[in-house]
Amino acid sequence: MRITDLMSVDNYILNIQRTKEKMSTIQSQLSTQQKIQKPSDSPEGTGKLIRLQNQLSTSSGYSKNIEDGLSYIDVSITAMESIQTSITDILTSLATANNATVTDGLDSFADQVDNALDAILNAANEKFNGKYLFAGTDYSTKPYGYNADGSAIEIKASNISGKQNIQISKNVVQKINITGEELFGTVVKQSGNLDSSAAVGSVQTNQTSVYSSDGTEYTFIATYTKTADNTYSLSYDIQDSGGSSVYSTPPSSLNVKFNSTTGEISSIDGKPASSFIVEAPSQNIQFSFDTTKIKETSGVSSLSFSANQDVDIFNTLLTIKNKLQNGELPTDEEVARVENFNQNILNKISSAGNIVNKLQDTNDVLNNQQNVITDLISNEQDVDEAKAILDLQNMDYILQVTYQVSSMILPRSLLDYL
Amino acid sequence: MISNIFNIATRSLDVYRKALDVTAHNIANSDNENYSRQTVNVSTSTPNKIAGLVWGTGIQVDSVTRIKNQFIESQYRKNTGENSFYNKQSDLLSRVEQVFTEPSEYGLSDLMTSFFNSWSELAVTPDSSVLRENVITAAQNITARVDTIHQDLQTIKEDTFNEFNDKTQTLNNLLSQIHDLNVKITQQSGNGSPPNDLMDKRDQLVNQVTSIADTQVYYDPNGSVNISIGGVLAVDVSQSVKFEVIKENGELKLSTASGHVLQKIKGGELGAISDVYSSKIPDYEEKLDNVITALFKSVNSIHSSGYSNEDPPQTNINFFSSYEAGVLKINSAILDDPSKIAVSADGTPGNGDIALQIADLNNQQLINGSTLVESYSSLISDVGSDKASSDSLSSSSALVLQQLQTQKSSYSGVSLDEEMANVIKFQRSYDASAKLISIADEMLQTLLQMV
Repeated sequence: MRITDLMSVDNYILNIQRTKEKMSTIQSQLSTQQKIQKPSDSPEGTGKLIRLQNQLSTSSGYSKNIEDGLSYIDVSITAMESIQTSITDILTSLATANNATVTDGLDSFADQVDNALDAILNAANEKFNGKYLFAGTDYSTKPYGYNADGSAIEIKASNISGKQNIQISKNVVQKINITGEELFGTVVKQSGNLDSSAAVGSVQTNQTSVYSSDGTEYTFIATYTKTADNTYSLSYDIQDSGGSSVYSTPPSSLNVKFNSTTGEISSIDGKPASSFIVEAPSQNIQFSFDTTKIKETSGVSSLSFSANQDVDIFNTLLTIKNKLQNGELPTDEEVARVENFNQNILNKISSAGNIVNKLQDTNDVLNNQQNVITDLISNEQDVDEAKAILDLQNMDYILQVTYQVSSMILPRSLLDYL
Repeated sequence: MISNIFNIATRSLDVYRKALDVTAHNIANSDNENYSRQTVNVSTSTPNKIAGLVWGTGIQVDSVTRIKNQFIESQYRKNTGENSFYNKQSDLLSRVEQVFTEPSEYGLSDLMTSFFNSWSELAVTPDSSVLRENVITAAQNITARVDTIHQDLQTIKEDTFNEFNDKTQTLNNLLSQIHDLNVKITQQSGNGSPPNDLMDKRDQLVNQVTSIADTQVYYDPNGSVNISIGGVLAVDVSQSVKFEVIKENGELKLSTASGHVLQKIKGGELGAISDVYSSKIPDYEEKLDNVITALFKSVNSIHSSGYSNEDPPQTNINFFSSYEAGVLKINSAILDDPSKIAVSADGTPGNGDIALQIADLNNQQLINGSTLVESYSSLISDVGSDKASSDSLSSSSALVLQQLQTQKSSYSGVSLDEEMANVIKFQRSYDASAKLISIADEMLQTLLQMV
């Protein structure tokens, strides 16, 4: 091949240029410590990097949620434990009072019960991070307090049954509160079936006993009137032993809708189905009415009631205190209500403990996952420094040789020898 | 007959002086890469027939020709077009690539993740005004980023349109220069001596035209070069065309002054610009639009089912008010009053189920079986691989071009060694011819002294 002067020069320039381009890439990788600086450095790697970063920050977000949830449930457990201690104290006092030979000494027991009741009420109204622990999702309102004349303790919040849900990992939502309803509430549950094939206008009525705060028995009547397919109007009434309504104006009826395929309850008054509070303040009657388990089935029509307790712990203790003050011992039934509550709170402490375990286990899994993702990101993104530096040195050597050789050869021509 | 020696020697002096002239011209242009080396073609001059014998009359110059391989030249032209197409495309795409600022914490993917995390965090304390502000800030980061990306892409489009215009002007200018040269070259070729230097200059211009647009080049035997672009004869000896830029259905095209629209320019810099302008950027914009539209619709549909943290709680509130022409807007009522963010499923202030559902959109396969971030990441991969492939095609075509340049240079370039050897060779011949004249002179003297 015929070699011309311009050819040699062009070749040298091209090769020097190429070596310098490679050096510049390695240098900028070394100085930024990143292999991928723009998508074209590795299109597939960049896509992977974006997805991994997304997973990592989402997972870190879950970890943060878990930390918040853990402190919330921890405080809830502490509050429940202090309530449980007070309840144990009361049960001890009541046992002692029962054995006491002198009945005029019951006043001191009344004081003990009164102190314990205060302690329980305080714990029930405990706040953490601006939220009342046992107020469900209406946690900005203090949930429990005395009614206007001080004769009973009632729920002040609009809804103490709300679940505070947090996301703790992909597709896993965890409740992190023990609701007031679960812990203290009187829940009247209605379950069973309404007949989906019944004619519009047909009526289904059921009744059960409910109790005022001092233990007086009343009758609660719930009536479902079918207004359209899968739709019912729910009205209710509370009647005293004489059969007359406690309401001067009956409470407004609710619109209940069922899912036409699953038969499950889909909404109450346009909102997601949840239990709601039924009350008759002048009679000191207050309980949660839970209809969420009712289903609509063709040809089956059977509704039944169940209640977790007759009177809640606050009003039971209030009654016991008043009796002790009057020199009366509480009835066995009343003591049984306290023991029943003691069992309930122990159950709730244990289920809160389970939530703690679940949160911690999930957090361990998340931490592992985050480590793995961080490793993957580092594989994709981090510069192998040793290799990069060696490459750089090698290029530098090549560059020097090129310079040396070109300085020797380029200026030469026949001219130098004439 | 001694006078014949004079004649032969004088003629050869003349020939070698001319040969030295051409060598000097070669040496002078040894660094000019558009120059093709020239050589003097000589032959023995017509012999005389005297007294039945044929007597040689020496040497004569036939022509000065340039050494040029048309096959290499046409290969070179074709690859110049290809190389400048990929170079330009890589240039423009590197600007497009920067618009997305990926991978970094300023990229849209990280902002979207932060946005969903802010909802997930809000679900923990749904009535917290700080966390509600966080959601708004995260959403504002997204809207600002989307806006910037959109505007930057528009700016690039405007710039590329301007560049398309400028390049078209350059093309028109080159075509008119080639036309001028065509006229001169055809005139001078008529005289029998090819105007080598003008032809070199014209070849250089033709290469420049090829780097701007894909061309059909035809060398007419009359000496003119005819170039057609996009199916239209752009230049010959009689005329050169002035092209105008038009936009047709969002595509950049050329038309003649008479309004004839050319086929789509596929090669050269104009081809690259029109490709990025009419196809690449709109494609990226559409993919980004899909992601943002899915975000806009899905967040709104969940958000409007929730209840705000007001007394009484409000429902049917949209989180984003509109997404039009690349501008995503947050509902101004929410910006004024963060308690209007509706995350409660039942109206109680501590319920965050709607926030959980919005946060879960991060995991939902909203666009053809992939999540928002996955879909966005594949857009970024597309941008990256378009750029990477134009880079690699640009460097591979540069290698081919370098190879051809070497061949071209090897064939047509000036070698100083060769030229210097020629100088010595021609000088010796010149010396010898001069010596011949002095010997002939001596011979004449000798004869004259005999008289």
